[in-house]
Amino acid sequence: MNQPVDQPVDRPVIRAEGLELRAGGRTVYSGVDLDVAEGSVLVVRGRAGQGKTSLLLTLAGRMRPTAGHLAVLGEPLPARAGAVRRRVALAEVRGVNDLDDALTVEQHVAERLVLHQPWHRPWVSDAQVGEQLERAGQVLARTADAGADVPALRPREFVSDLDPLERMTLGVVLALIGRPDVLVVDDVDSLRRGEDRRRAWASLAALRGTTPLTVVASCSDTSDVRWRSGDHHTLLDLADR
Amino acid sequence: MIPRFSLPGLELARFRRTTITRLAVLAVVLVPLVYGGLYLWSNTDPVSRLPHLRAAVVDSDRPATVTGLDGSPRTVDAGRDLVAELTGPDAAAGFTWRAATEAEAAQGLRDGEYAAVLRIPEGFSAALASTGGDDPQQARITVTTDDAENYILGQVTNTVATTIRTRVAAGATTDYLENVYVAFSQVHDSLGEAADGAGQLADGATRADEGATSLVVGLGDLGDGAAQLVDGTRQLRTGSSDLADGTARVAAGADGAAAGAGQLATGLDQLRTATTALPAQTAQLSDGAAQVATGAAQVATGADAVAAAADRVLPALGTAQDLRPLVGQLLEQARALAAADPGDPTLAQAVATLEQAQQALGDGSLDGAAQQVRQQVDALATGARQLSDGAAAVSGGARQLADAAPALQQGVARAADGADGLATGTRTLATGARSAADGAAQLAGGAARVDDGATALANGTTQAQDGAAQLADGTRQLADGAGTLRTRLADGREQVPDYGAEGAERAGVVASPVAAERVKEHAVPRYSDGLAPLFVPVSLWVGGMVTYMVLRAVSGRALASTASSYRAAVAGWAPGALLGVAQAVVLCLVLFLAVGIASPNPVATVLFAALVAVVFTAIHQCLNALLGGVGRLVALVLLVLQLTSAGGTYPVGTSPAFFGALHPFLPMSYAADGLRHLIAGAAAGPVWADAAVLAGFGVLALGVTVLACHRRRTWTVAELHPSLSL
Repeated sequence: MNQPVDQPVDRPVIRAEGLELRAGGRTVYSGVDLDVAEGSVLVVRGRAGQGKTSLLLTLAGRMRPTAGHLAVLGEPLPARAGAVRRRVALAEVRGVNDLDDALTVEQHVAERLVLHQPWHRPWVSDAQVGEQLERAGQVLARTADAGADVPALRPREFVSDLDPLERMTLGVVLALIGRPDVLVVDDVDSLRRGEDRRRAWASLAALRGTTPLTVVASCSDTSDVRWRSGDHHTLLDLADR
Repeated sequence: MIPRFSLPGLELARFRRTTITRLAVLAVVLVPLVYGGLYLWSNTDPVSRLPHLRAAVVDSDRPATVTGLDGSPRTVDAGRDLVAELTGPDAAAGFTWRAATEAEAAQGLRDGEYAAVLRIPEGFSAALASTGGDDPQQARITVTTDDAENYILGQVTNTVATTIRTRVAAGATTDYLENVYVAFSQVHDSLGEAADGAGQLADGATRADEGATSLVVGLGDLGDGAAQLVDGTRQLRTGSSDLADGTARVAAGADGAAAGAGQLATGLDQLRTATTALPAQTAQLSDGAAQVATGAAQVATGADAVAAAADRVLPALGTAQDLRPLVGQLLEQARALAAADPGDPTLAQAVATLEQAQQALGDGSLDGAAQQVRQQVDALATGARQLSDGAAAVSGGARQLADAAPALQQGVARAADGADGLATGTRTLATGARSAADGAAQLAGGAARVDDGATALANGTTQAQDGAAQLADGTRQLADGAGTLRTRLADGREQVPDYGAEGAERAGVVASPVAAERVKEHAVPRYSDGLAPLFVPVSLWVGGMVTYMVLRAVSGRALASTASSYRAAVAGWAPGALLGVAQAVVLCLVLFLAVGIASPNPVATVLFAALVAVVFTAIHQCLNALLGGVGRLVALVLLVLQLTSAGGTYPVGTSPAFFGALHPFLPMSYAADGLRHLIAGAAAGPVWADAAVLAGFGVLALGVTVLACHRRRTWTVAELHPSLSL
């Protein structure tokens, strides 16, 4: 069995206790207890409407729980939400940060790059975009080496023309531009093809291996997940509650 | 109500789930109310709220002295009066007026402290006072507004100026009418005098009536006299005709007399000539007669002696022969006598007798003869005696004649002279008589005309009588009328003014004694130029609203990213601002080039408009970022609030206080103000101030957007499943 690459298991990234969210008179989720180590993968599983997205946003510091204790990257939430948000990146979450069908891959990359520049530089050069795309390509290649086999992104392609796996890949690439400590990927099950889902999971596992990145992902079905030995992963099953 | 399961009901049912959606439906219902209601409320009655605006009145007037009709001098200080009236407690002249110096007023107008400046020039009082004088002048005031502060106000101020003008004019007219009324009282007095005069006229007319009546009577007498005159002139006509005949005859006679007198004169001349020798002859006659007398006496003596002889002869007849020688002697003597006086028939007779006697003595018939001789001698003796006596008488007469002859000669001479004079005189008389005849003929003609005239006179007098009767009627009416005139004059003595010769000229000035001159500083040529400063910002505001209907105020990707909120905010604002600048530039260029709006500083105007657009974009982004879809509703409400409180048309002071209170807190107020200064070409200072305030609004909006972004980086379940997307 392969050993985990370099993650010190004893450094918790997410600790939750009795986390609960109620809204509009109903309980979105409740009784969530978590202890996620750095560099591991947290899989949140639940049926539609069981609060997967809400829980992921809560863990990303972008939604306030109504009860329980939560600390992410050592920062208590929601008090230090801002600090958490700067280090936890979201891949595309439908209804929150949808990709724009009218923009191309490189335009999305450029947009995200600009956001991370100081205010007095509201633009980026082609070279910067190219460099970023190249870096993304390297990452993808590395995941491909790990057997993920995710197709490379074509810079000039419009988002509307991407297939679901490419789209999810773009969302992840964009999230990684800010060099986050935690990557949040919602609803891997939105990939309708089982092959895509498998490659996505594999890719996410591979990503975790490239950096001290902790991955939080959600799905309604984990049957496509192929856990490799040595993978540190935690499964939180909302459906059980 | 709409049935629950109808299509409209189902559509609206979408909004029943949450409070916010119900409010949204309510907002949809209320937006027109907010828009129309606020707009109309703010424009309720701007003109009546003009007193909420301050205006300055600058009095440069000097008092003028004027002499009233009553002769007393009076001081007119119309400028001070006007200031007192405008600034007084019950002034109602458009604005709230304050007395100010020229410098304060000019500065205040520039600052917007004063909406208008009323200037009363130096000669104001003098001009007003002149309306009653010989050379009426229009008094002038000027009302100045600044289009760079407000355009509509400049228009509205006309009303204010008119009000003030009317008011001052009313005051001036009152002064003038006082004089007029004084003149009326003079007219009144004059009418009283006229009434008196009419009374006198009435009296006089009454007397005239009496006189006319007398005239009628007198004309009756005149008629009678004229009739008599006609009779007399008729006689005159006849007499003068006779006279003409008579004088004609006199003239004829005088002609005859003249002829006779001429003959007389001629005769007398001959007589004079003839009597020249008369004295001498008579003297000779006298001598001769004396001799005759002597001779006769001798004869007589002789005769006596003869007779005695004859007596003695008779007895001695036979002695006759002895007598022959004696008779011869006697014959001799008689012949001598007769020779001495051949003219004396007696002597001739005696001679003859003696011759017969001598003969008879010779022939023997002596007896008879002696008888005869005796008789003869007796007769002779008698004759001789008589002769002697006669001769003596002749002698004496001749002597007297001779004595008288010179006198006779003289008398004849005088008679001749007199006859000459008579002849001359009678000729003159004849001439005169002819003239007299002519004159008499003329007299007759004249007398005829006189008669005709007298007839005409008689007729005329009759007419005069009729006329005099009418005159009497007329003078009676005159008397009545004069009485009425007096009454009416007395009644009307408080009426009818007289404005004299300058009436027309004065009427113009009195009708409009004050002219209000309107001065607009930084005047803009047209209404569109006046409104552009409001509608450019309004357009840009709407442009900003539309911009963020198209653009997202903040990108969800940006919010969800790990970038800072500030970056996320700027990322949402920058594209909007870029579009805003484009909107402003395009709008201004079209306004300048196509619509014809003009600005002395087009570049500055475009730049300012671009600033306005950028700031408005920031505000719209802020509203959208802060409130989401509701932010657009708020923007709509803000639009109408700004439209109504920016003072773009009427000054905000003319709107209800609500809008005035809002005015300083809304960016469009400053945008409109700055553009107004730029388009009207006023001082740059306020523009910089406006730009600074606008920039402040922009920074504030951006700051709030950052906060909103920060807040929106935390989602809620409701946001994840939005039931309302605006």
